[in-house]
This record gives sequence, C-alpha cells and structure tokens, in this order.
Amino acid sequence: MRAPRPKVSWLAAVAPLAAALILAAPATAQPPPRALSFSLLNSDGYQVTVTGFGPTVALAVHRPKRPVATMYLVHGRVTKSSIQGSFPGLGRVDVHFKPGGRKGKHPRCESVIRGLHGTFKGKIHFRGENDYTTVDAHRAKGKVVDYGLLRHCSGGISSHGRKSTNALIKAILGLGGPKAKTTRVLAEWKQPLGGVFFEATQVGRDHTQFVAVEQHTFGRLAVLHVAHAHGSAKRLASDPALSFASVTPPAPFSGSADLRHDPDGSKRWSGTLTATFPGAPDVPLTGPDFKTILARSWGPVPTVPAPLPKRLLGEVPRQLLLPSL
Amino acid sequence: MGVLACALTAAAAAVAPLSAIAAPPHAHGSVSSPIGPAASGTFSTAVDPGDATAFWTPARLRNARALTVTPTSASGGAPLATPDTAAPGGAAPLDPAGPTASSAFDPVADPEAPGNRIGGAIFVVLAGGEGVARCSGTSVSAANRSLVITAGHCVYDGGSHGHWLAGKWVFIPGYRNGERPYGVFPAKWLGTTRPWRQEGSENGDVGAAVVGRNERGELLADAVGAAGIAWGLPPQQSFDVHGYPVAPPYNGSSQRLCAATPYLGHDFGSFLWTGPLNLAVECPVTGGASGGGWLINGDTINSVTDYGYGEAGSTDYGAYFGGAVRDLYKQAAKVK
Repeated sequence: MRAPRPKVSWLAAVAPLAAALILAAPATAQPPPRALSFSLLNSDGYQVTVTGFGPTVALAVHRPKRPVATMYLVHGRVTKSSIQGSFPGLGRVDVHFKPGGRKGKHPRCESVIRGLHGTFKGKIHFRGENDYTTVDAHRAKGKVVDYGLLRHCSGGISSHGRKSTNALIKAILGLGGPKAKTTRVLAEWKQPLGGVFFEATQVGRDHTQFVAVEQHTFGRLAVLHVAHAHGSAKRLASDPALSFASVTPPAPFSGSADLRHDPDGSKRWSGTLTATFPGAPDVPLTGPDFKTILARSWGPVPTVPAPLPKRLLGEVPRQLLLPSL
Repeated sequence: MGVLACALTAAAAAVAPLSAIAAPPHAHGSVSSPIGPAASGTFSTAVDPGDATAFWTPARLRNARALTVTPTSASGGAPLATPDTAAPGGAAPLDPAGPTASSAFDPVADPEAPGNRIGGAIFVVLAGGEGVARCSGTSVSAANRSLVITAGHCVYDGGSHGHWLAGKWVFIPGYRNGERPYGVFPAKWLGTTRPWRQEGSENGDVGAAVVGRNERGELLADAVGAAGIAWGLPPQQSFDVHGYPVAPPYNGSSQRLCAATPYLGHDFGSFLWTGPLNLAVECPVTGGASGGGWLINGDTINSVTDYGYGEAGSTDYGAYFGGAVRDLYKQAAKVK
C-alpha cells in the first residue's frame, strides 16, 4: 500500500492558479489532450458549465461573480467532438460539437493555444438537488480546446508566452512581492469517500482569505463543493503562542469556529462554522474528527490561497479549468 | 452469487488446461528484450531471474521496506475515453479454501494454511542503489501455473516515463518472519495494464508476474495452489483483503487479513483517472500491503491493494478488475 501520487490542487474560482498548474506541468509523450466545454446561463442566475476531458464529464454550477461552486463528476464518454455523461439522479448530457468559425487565441500564449468555438447540440438535462436549479436545453455555445499545446508556452516555443508564464508563476508564489506575517488555520476531515477542508489565511494586518472544500462520492457520482471568501484581518484572531485561534468568515460562510490547544497536547476544532454551496446549504466545517494546523510565518504574500491538501482533492482536473482561463 | 458463478463458468471455457507445464526460467545471466506492448493493450517485460533466490537471505527479507513509487508522467489522460465494458469472466481457483473471519487487519493464524499460502510477499531490489523493497501478491490460476497478481506499482513505477522494477524480483508464498516455507519464486516476466503503463492511472494499478520454479523445481501453483480470478463483476462484493504490511504499526513479519470487508464506494480521485472507477473498503493497510489480493468467496481474486491516505484513515483502495485486467491476465497466462 502506498500513498497516491502527488496530486495537484485546484480552486475553481482562481483561474491564475489553474493557469500556473497547467503551465508548470511537465511535458509528456502523450498525445495532446483535449477539453470540450460549454456553458448555459439559467434564468435563475445559475451558470452551468459542462466540461469533458479524458474519462471525466464535469458539470459545474455557480453564480457569476460569486466565489462558490458545486461540481458534479462522472465517468462518461468524451470524444473529439462529443460529450456523453449520465449524472445519477440529476440528469444527463449527450451533445455533439459543431464548429462555429473562429479560433480562439490565448492572451498569454498567442497563437500557441488553439481553441475552436462552436455550438454543442443534443440533450442537456440537469436538475439540482431539491430543484435548486434546472436546465433543459438542446444547444449551447462552447468550445474545444487543445490544451496539450498550452504546455509549449512554458517550453520556449513562444518567447512571449514564456515570459508571461514566468511572471504569472512568480505572482502566484509571491516571489518578488511584498512580505508579511501570515497566520494560517487549516482543518481537514478525511473520510473514506471524500472529505472536508477549510483554510483561513491572515495576511499581515491587511486581510484574511478563506477557502472551504467538501467532496464526496455517491455510487457513480462525485460531488465537489468549493467556497472562497475575503474578509478583514480581524476575522482571524489568534494569540502569540498559537494556542488559540478563532475565525468568523463572511458569506458564503456563516458562524464561527475556534481552534484550541488543550494542556494535554490535544486540539479541538469546534463551533458553528458552515458554508453554503449550490445545492448544499449549511455544510458543517467543524467537528471532533478534523485534523488541524495553526501556523505563523514571515515571507512572501501569496496572491491566492495556498494549495489545497493533495490527499483530499485528488488529481486536479486541470483541463476542466482551462475553459475558464 | 449468480453472476460470479456465471463468471467462473465463462472462465473455465477460456483458460487453457491446467495441466500445461511452464518452461523453466530463462538461462542464468541473460536478459530478453521487452515483449510488449502487446496487441491486447498490456505492457510487459522479460526478467532475468539470475541469482535472485540466493540473494534473498532472511536478513535481507526482514530489512526490506515498503515499496513507494510515484508515476513519472504528468497526468491528463488520453483524449478519448470509453467505459469499461468487460463481460464477466475469470478463472477458477486451484486450491479453494476460505479464510477464517476477522474484523481487523489481523495476522492470519497460519500463513501456510491452504487459503493463506496462495498469498505471499514480494521482494525487489530497487534501481540506483535505493535499497530493497517489498509488496504483496497472490498466486493465481493460469495455464502456466506460475502467475502472481499484484499491484501495478509493484512491477512498474507508473506512467509513460516509468521503469520496470525487475531487480531480483521474487515472490515468497506463505512468508513468515524471514522463513520461506515454499521456497522462492523469481520473476521471469512482468506485466501491467495499459492505464498504469501509459498514464499512471490509479484505476489501472494492477500488475502480473510469471515466476520461475522454486529451489525444489516446483511450479508455483503446484507448490501452494492458486486463487481463481474474476473480472467484470459488479463492484458490490465482500472482500477478504490479504497483505504483508511492513510500515508502522506493522512489521511485515506475517500475512494479515481483513475478512469479509464490504465495498464502500469509489474514491473521489478515481473519477479523474482513466479506467473503471476503483473500489474502497475498510481495512487499515499500510506500506507493504500493496498488491495484496482482495478475494471474493474466499478463493477468487477480484482486486488488489493499491493505495491509501496514510494517517488519514483505515480505507484501502484497489483497482476494479475489468477489461484491462482481463487483457493482462490473458497475456500473462500465455507466458511459458
């Protein structure tokens, strides 16, 4: 028995991180993978994005400009021009791609990235848990992206792209940027078929950022919930000895949580903290089974939340994120 | 039960006569060219058994640590994917016997008992002076009477830039605390599935070895028997998980067993890898248990231990036996 291979983390609302992950990936001898994706904006304000890559069909639901999303994943059938996936109890996607003309260019990689725009036609049916949103459509605008070519951006094919890539990665890692005291609270509960992760990062006296991820599988369906929020520095309080921390994140979170180190060395992560995701209101983010870390450091200020724990999230659907770049 | 019976019936028609005798191992000191890739979609390599048997002294066996590998290709999967559509199939066991029940990863009472001695420890010398390592495996029924099924990462370190783990690779059935009650069986052929070989997909982390005769000139299945194998079954099975965990809190001295542990579901990461969704069961495995057989009905292998999440829990994840495993088995069974 071994640990699974190192996983790359993802955060749906943070496209730059995804870009860095894609660009930093080593080249392989594999044929260039391809991602097919389309989106629909529902009248209730929810945007539904379906992406097919490799064996995976993902259906993500979020409200534009709100950093909270739910993604449903199944193994389906994805070809060069079609996506077929059945989401047990939720719906089905069976569409074919019809090229619609223009080829997209990635702003950082110029002509290296090939994105072919067009229309997906077929059957698109989705009904969220407790009918929080419903989609019945027969066509949607989308694109096919040959993301394998994106890797060449970091390989020197395009000097312009390479410079941009390096700058992007430096920005994300905080290299060359300001330094500050950073205090972090991490809480994770790994379960056999999923888990819950929460992180609060206080950057100096400036602000605090929060991330929560819940994932689980149910039969042939996997569900991923992601929430992200920014708040003032006061939303994370801790003592100098790091024996105590308290967090009160803004929406889509609610409630608060405390981390206490007991004299016997044990730690308690308790409180009323929850997060509300599309289709999953008030998901608890505290409890006795969470493992926690409270740490403080001095260094570069990250521009995005730290990578999520690799053992929680599994392999990053880098390709799933590409269409959002 | 009906499905399994059907699977075994189908297998009986597909597998070569069990009386077939495998050829002796390759000549000492020679290494054959890789055999694969094969048309069936599996990948394999020939191995020089060399002096593997003499090399593995009791001291070396006790000192071997758990094998840990990292696939060396970036993930991403193939651009096209199709669901696994393997029809139920497999092979009947040679020496059926059910294990006694236990509710944890407890030591088996007698590793040499008929139901346990088909399980064994795998030892391998890592390339580049990285020492010796170990896994677990199972003797499985095949025409050559010399087949071991294990995890893919116990024979190949995964991905398009991986390497075969062929250094003095041996299988020791019924291993206990340095003892080799049935001798040492050196590998002469290693193979793995296409998803594991090409992409390092955790969903395809299954490997096979065809071993030579032991010091007494016996073929593996003649010495200890062999489990049956089944593929294409529904995942909702109850598994007896065997293995030789060496990482703490265990020490690898004896075979352990989680008896009758039911299928829980699929790991989240499994949805992002090529190949059929993997299986999760409750069993507190640690390093060294990799490749240990998951038996159904006490005598038929239907998965192997692949990975876990370390300190995070007691869940064991194994590959679903579908078309890729069927292809691997059929290729391995033909090796003489």
